[in-house]
Amino acid sequence: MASKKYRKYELIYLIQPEATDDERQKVHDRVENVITEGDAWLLTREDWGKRKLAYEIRKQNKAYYTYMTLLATPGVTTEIERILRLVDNCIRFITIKLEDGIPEDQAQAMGTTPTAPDAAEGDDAEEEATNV
Amino acid sequence: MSKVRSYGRGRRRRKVDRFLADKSLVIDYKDPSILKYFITERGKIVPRRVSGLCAKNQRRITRAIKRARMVALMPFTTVKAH
Repeated sequence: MASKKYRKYELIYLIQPEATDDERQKVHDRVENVITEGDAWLLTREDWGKRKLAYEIRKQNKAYYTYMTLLATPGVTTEIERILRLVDNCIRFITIKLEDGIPEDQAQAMGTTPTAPDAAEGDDAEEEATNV
Repeated sequence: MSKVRSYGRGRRRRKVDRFLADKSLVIDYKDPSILKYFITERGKIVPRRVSGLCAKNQRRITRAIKRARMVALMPFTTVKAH
């Protein structure tokens, strides 16, 4: 069998502004659970904090933004999205494929080192990797 | 290159694609500070004939703005619906 191919994704999700630290942590944990239990690695997680929204969502003008990049096999992101849909505190999310067709060994190397090295650009992948 | 040429009546400055001019600028939907130059006050995407971008970059900008709108980094419209 051919070796598994990984994809690099970025994920942003928005959490209700009145959510407590605990509630937010719960959402992070659930997402990270899917990643660690599924065939995936979490590369980076950035907390953008409470930001102003460009338009109202659910009568709110602000939300907590979380940004992450991950390496995963195809099914993992659908599972993350399913989970986020179930979380009441999550008001928006978006996943974007950055790179496609990363072989397993390379993915392993990227996944186990904390700093993600900039790999070769994907072929007709959605977007160019955000370079430094 | 920003030559001034005359076209019939009036003069027009030749528009430049700022992303070609400055390679350090990256089109990224996560960065509204760059995207905001390509929308009107109403929040509409500026057409290519105005933005001066090359076709490829215009497509990228369009995609970036649409993505930014999804996560409320950019407005769909500035006029409030009621």
